[in-house]
Amino acid sequence: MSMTMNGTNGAVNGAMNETMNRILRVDMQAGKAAYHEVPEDDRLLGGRVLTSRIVAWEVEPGCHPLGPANKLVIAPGLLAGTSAPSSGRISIGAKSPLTGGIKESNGGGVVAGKLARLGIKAVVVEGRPAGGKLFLLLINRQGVQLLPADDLREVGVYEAASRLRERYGKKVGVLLIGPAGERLMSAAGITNTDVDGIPSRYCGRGGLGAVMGSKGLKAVVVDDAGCEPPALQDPKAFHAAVREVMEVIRETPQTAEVYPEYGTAAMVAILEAMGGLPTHNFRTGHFEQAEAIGGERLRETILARGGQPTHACMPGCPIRCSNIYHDAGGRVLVSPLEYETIGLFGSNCEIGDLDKIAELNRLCNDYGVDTIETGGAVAITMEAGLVPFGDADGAIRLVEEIGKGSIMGMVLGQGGAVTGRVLGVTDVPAVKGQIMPSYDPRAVKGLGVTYATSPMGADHTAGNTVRARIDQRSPAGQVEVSRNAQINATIYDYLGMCLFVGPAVKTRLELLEALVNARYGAAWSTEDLRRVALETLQTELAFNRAAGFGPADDRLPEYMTRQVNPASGTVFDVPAEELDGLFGR
Amino acid sequence: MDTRAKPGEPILVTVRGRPGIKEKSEAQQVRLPGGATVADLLARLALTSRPEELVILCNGVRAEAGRKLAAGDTLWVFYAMSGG
Ligand code: SF4
Repeated sequence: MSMTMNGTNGAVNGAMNETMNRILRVDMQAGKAAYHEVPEDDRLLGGRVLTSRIVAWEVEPGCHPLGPANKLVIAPGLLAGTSAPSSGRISIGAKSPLTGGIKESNGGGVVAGKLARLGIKAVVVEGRPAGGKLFLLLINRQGVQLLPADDLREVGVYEAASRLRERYGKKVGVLLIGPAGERLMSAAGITNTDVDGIPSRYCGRGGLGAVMGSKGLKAVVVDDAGCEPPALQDPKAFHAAVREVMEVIRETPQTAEVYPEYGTAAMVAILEAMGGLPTHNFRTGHFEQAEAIGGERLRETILARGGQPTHACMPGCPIRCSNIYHDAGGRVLVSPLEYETIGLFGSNCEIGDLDKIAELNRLCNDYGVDTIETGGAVAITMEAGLVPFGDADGAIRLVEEIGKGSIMGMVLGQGGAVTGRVLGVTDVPAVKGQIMPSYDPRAVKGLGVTYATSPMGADHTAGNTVRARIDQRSPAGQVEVSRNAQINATIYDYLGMCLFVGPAVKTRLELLEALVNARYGAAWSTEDLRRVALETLQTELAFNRAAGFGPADDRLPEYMTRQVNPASGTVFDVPAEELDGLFGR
Repeated sequence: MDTRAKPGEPILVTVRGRPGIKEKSEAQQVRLPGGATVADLLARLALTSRPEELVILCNGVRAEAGRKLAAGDTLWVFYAMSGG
């Protein structure tokens, strides 16, 4: 089946709306699509605020996440497509097959900017095609086409992206799932191509790749050739705000020096110092070989091999926290190699070898699974004794099972919680079924609060408190710190702005409101942004309650309240009533 | 062995791992006058620009500028950041 889809709701093929106010709805069952105009009043919807609103309003909370009633919502942030620095992140939302709750998963790359230039606020993918067919969605200035993609079935994302760019041109942006998404694995993510066309920027968390797979959708190819950047209501004010943001980025050591030079791998030493570097399936927060997997070693290795220690995942990012890691022979192995992957596959599996971690990362990327979830599942397999801790080649063999689709691979591909149940491991570091990222919540208790209370499950990007000026090991004050961090993270996800701009603008939030106001002709204050963020969190929590979540789901695994992390000497002891009070339940 | 100095005696502290603070990346021992604080240590290390962006851990626990140091303390100094 190949068809050009015509709008059915006053929509038009090809007509650009420069204010970015169209939603593209794609019905996979009927093979139809239509553009819907967004009312003027809703022009300030975008990113996570929009994905969560559509999911909460249109998806039955009790539905099967991989059934036809779930919807996959893809939305650029409010500032996408503009020259605002690091503002091209994309939000993808749905009911999660991993957590069973609402999910927004966020990634970098080029797709958000291209959608914005096509005047698209969101793509909503609904239904499920009959007969298990596989499609790709091509969106360009001429219209929308749903094309057969059976030739890409079971093809890894590197090869698939390369073929699609060959077919549709090097300048297209691609959203893509790997074989794991096609097989409906709950650890499956959705990748975005970066500035070099490499499918490396994952919306990894929550199993949304499986939702895309359940819709029979292998890829979304976005071609913005011939499109202009989104219109600015007050160009002068917008450019002035951009200049100021660039200036504070240049003046802030984290954004001017640390992220560009060491990337997020600088976090290895920080978490090791805090006693919070997950090690041996989160048994302790101290890894003997931390230096061997840290930011300085990463940088030295990359430079020695002719890779790139600093790289931008999207146009217009001055921070450039990303990298391109080469193998010993000087060939590109993976891009980027980041802290969460290093923590979950490195210290947590006791693998002190960056080359092996990079290889694991590449395999996960190619199969289309989240490295946090998969690293956690591999560590659980190690705890079950199937492979010894520290056995990097054993870990690689396990991950290869995901690629083969063997029973073992299918188990791992369902994530850490399922792997723990199958293998009889009871101490699983997960909340709402989702493996914790690379911060032990007994050593960084504010993050423990975020893991417990976020509607997203254990997710550092939902409200990272590691920067907070607070005694991280004390339970006091953590709920307030987490609450603020969760609201701030929602604002960034709303705007499509990278969280790493945070250290630069944390005392200049008026710059974010200035960007929004100049782009949309609004008169919002920072308080308005906070209000919308809080409303979004409340919407997400209400969805989860309707899906069956209760206070017992807003807890860390019970063993973390009893078992001391020997490196920090602490358990997680933020009182349950404080957790329950965080969003005023 | 008691590593705590007598009042007024100089103390020796260890400063470790400073990601992103390029000029002093390896662990080093720093001698300070008795009664020295975290702020004194930062001055000694010439880490006086943007101190509000720094995180200092003393024996793994967050320490503010006014905290008095003791002989044998291990300090980590780094810029406040997060991973992704
Ligand atoms: S700071 Fe890093 S993750 Fe953020 S936009 Fe830039 S390259 Fe991408």
